[in-house]
Amino acid sequence: MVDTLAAIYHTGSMEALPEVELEAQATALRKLKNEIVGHDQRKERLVCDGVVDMLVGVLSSQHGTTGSRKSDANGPAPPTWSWTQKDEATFVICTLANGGAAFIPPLYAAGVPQVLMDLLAQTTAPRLRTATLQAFWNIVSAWSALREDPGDAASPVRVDVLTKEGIEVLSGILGSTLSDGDHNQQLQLRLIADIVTVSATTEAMKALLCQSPILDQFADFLAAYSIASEHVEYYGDTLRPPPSTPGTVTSMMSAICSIISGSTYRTHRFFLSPTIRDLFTQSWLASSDQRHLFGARHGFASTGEPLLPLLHIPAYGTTTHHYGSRAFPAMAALQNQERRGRSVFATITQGGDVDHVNAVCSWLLLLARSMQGHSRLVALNLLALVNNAIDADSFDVGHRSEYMQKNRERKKQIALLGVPLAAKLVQMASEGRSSGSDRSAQNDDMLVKEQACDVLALLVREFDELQVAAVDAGAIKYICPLLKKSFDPVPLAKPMWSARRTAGNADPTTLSPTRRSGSQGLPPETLHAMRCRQGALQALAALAEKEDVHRKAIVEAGVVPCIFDSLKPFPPGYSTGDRRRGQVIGPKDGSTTAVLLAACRAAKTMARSVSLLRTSLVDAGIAKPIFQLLHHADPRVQLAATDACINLLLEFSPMREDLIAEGVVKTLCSQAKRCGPGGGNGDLRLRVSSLWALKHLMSASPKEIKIKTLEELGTGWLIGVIRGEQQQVREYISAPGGGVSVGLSAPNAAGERVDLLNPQSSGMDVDVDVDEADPLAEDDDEQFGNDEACANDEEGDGEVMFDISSSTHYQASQLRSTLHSHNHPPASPTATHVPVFSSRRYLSSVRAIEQTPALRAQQAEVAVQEQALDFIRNLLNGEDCSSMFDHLLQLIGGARIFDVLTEKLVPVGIDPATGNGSATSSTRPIYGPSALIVSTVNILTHIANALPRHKQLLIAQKPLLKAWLPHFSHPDRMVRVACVWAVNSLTWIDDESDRRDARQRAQELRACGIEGAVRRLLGDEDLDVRERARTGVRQFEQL
Amino acid sequence: MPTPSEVTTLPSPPAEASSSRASFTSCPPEEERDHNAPRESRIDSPLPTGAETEAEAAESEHTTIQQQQPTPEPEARLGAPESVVESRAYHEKGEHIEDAGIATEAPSTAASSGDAPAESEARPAHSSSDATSPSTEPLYMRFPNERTRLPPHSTSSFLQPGSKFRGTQQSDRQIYDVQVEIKDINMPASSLSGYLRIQGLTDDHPTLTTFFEGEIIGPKHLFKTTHASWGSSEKVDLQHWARFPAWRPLAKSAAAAAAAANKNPTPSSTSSSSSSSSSNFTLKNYQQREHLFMRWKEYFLVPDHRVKTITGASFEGFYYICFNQCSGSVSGIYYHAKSEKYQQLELEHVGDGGCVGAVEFR
Repeated sequence: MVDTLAAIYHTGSMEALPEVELEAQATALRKLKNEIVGHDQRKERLVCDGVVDMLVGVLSSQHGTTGSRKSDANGPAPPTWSWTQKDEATFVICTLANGGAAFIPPLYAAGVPQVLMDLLAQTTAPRLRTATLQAFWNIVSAWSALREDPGDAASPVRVDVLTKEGIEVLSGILGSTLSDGDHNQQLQLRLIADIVTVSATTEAMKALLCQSPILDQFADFLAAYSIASEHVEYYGDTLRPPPSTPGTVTSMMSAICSIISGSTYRTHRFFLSPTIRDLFTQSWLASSDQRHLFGARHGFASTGEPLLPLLHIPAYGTTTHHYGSRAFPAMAALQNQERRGRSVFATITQGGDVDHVNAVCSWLLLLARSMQGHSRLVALNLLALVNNAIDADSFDVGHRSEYMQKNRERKKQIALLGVPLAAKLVQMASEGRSSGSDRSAQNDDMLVKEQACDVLALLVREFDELQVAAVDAGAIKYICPLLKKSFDPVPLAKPMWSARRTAGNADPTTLSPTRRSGSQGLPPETLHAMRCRQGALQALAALAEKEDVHRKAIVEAGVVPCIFDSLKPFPPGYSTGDRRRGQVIGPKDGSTTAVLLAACRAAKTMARSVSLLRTSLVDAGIAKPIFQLLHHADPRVQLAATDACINLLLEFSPMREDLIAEGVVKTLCSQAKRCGPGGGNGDLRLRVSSLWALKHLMSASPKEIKIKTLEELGTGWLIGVIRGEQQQVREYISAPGGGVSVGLSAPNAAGERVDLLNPQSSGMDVDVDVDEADPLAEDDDEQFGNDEACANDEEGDGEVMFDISSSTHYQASQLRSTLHSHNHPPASPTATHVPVFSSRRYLSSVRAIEQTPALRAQQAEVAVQEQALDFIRNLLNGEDCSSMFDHLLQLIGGARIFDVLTEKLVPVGIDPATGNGSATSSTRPIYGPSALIVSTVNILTHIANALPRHKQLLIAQKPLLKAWLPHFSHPDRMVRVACVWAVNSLTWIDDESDRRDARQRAQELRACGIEGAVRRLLGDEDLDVRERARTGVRQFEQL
Repeated sequence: MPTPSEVTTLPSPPAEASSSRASFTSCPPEEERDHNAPRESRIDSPLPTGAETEAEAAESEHTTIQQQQPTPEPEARLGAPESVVESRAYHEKGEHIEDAGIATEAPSTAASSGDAPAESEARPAHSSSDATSPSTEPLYMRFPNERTRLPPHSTSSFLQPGSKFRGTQQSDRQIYDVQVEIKDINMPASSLSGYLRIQGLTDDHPTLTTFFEGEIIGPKHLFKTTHASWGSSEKVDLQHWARFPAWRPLAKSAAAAAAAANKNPTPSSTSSSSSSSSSNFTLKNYQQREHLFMRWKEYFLVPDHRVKTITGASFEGFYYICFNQCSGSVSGIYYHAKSEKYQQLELEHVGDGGCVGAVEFR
């Protein structure tokens, strides 16, 4: 072998080699490859001897000769030999990368990925192109295994493999396949998709891929496949690539999943991609919009026959146990307001194009049903991502019946047709049923085993209806054995022992990085067990989210100890050096970071039950490992463990004492106060969770613990947090150079956009500004210029959204017919097909909400303030309310406390929409988010329940009373009822000596209008508020 | 809870509470039940039947229209603007249904003419007339939802996490002091849980605390007890519910529903007709009613759930509960086949001045 290498070295200098020698070199390379295939120790030896540098030399040698290639026509004979030689070099790299993670660091150090990309950019030769892609894929897949390794986090391989240029090269190859579709090309397409799937791991990489045309290209292929498979009858004339083989389509769907996962915006980018919209709008010869036929009710009846089972879904019933939306319970009271969208967020509050999203979901279901095994799983994964993203943006929709109905239909369809498919795949994985004995079938089975639970989790997460469907399909029964099995010892396929002490590694520091093979990472078998474990835990976490019955079924299945075991990280001292000495890291030794995160999640959702906290969770001793994970090096693990702690520290949790004894107070306080450089969102999330946990710790705790915790946090810090970085927010407001920024404005209770910066600006043109002022909106969309077509198509239509009438009943075609006559001339010949819904505008809204830094910062800020206020509230809660308040008065001072509370209640701005144009001349103040008002008013209620002198103190705060008054008509009943309770406590006569004071307090309340506000609540829609107001009025009358 | 002088082993958690299947069949999700059950047998509203039945009729009409029409709605509405308006009005009416019960109960908002103009501007949208003037409600900043939040839902200030009750349980022979503390309440799931503390039951244990879970009668739980192991029957259910005065108006509706059910050829004997109607009988809009009906079932001892037997005490039975949302009082009747019948639980809310801690599962 060394001889071969020497032979290559001999010919190593590339300049002006005679043809014969080049040929010899190619032969030598081929020989080399044959020698090392499947022989890791030889590979290692080779690397030590510097083969990587040599290969890079061979591959990049052609840089100089590209010019000569261009002049092939008039030059000498084409240098085909040099390409043959590169072929061989690529094969050697392929083989090396196949050896696993250990070979990645030297390949990286030598810059092989970049060299391969350059090669790919230069060559058009199909053989070499395929070989290069294959080599690249081998590298990337070994690299991804290495990323899961819990080993050294600072390893250089943590960088992304793909670069922007690399993506362009790949996208170029995808684009060039419009013409022919031979076997080689299918292989290339598949490899590209696989490379993208594995490389899209970081947010930055995903964003880069999303901006590139690659996402739309994959969508094109998917659409083409559907047309070819006659899922959709297509009458349009959009040019599409030729249909691909099912295997390629699977890879492409995987790639799409990888790119869009983790972002609502990117998911919208996918399913609002022009070709996918086109796929459903062009499915009829008729000119009207027939897309509802794709929905659940009509079973995807595009070709006349329904392709999916028809579902009968009754119209939206009148019983609802969620009164109002989940996040904002009083939304029901506001439904009428919600209809008046006239802002950028109106596009969101309209809930998007519901017919389109239903069509997309039905289509993905159809794809899933038409496929088997792993392909089916990938289709379901895509469906889950799309469905989640749709729900994520329907936040303000309230009860608009038609939209709700169609949403329900979609959910029901997924519950009946999608979830059982996923559960079936979990069952297959669990029972170890194999779909075949050949290698591809085995690989397919392995992927299903690793991913089925994950997909199921993704599908049902946050939807109780789907969780029920999954459990009905037997999910818990199949998941639990998978989890248990992941702890079984695995026989390792590769012999670990080597006769030779690894001489090359004796003194690794002396070797250059390109000659030093890295850590082998976890054995693939262990990694497989980890992936299965992670998936199973995710699935259990998702199923335990809402229903106590599910949690109890999980306990019955006896997997709580498995959750406990999964909370153990790999021992810190473990290194791959041990492996050579025969100590193999098996599945029982610990868990990878991904598993730790999933296990924390499972512990968290399981702990949402008083009953389980008191029984199986405490029996399993879940608190201890979670406490240890609070100190884990990875901040994501810290956050997940803190989240689990929040539930374990509840008053009724018997684990609370243990955690306090372990020193959880100190840990949480230091976490809360720790704020990384730049104050990124991640850090604030840890602060929110830590304060949340501390808040729970405060409720029903002994006074000593309360005082100690307050001391640990520091009152100055706490008050500072509650006040928020007000200054900072002001900066945001004035920063973005005069324009109106979305970040400054937030949709208010009525679903309207509130503009804090330009109160005087015209309400009507606010919307138009968004695209221009939003610093994110344009830049990268335009980078690749792929949005233009859709922009031209739909420009101007979005303005319809301003119209008051548009909001009452969202019906695209209908709006068009009523509105275009006066101010909207038909935009283009295809105007009849283009609905009012503007995907471009919609996308930019989704994006603004998800990505505008100022908005995100403000949201994070509010979340912190809410927890900090609630911390104070719980501090005051309980028997020692008055003494704790005295303590606060002593530490902080009355004036400061009431100042802070007043600050939270006063308006933060003026509605820009009032006071202009329209007939109304009044200005509507805008108040802080409801969560803060709820917390603040509840603090007032507590103060009003303390001693009479505290009441006197409260009643003396004139500015506070004035700021409080408007919130008596807050849309959230929790605020209104807390307001009345506070008043009732203020007018309550504690004893005879208090009677005179009580009367005086009542007079004050009357004078500032609060009595009137209470009287008006006698007619409140909420029973509880009415009842409390009745008491309040009676007390006023008795005084 | 308990029958004194009875030595029993504490039950292991009943089978159906842990096996998911059984309880699913017993409490199907609301919508399933909505169309499985005959429409009439659900109680819509005891008194103001007029508006509601009309609205519901309108709604069901709407449903049938949707079903019968092969041509889709959008197309049907495409034509003239008038039809658009019409359909919009239609929908508004449909949405109004849910509030109908409230509206009749609540005095009109016009009753309160604003003292100061500035205040009258700031009102919640109680009635649609209010909401038509757009610029009167206060505005609140809003951020996109965090879907992972599980905010506390409660319908009464007296029934929240941390609410305490105190009172007695009375049997023929004795009266025991009882305290109840609510720990968690989950309105979407129609469930709650808490501790029940009884004093003086046995000499060895002057105070016994048990953990109980409650199910609230509503869209998720029927009046009929559907847990086989609780040892109840429809007859027992009716006997116990009937002892609550608040049941009476409902009983009338139940009878009416039974009569309607009798018209249908249901294979039920006349004697059991009332109970057959009760089998699918639940409450609509239950959250805004004065009374909440519940069942409370004790599961294990606090602090140590592993203690399975207590000499002289058992908690194998369960309570039928009627909770008054306005006053915060709890009446209950203990039921266990082997215990003395109709032991009365009477509890009053312990005043907290509206002080509620901030507790929210993560």
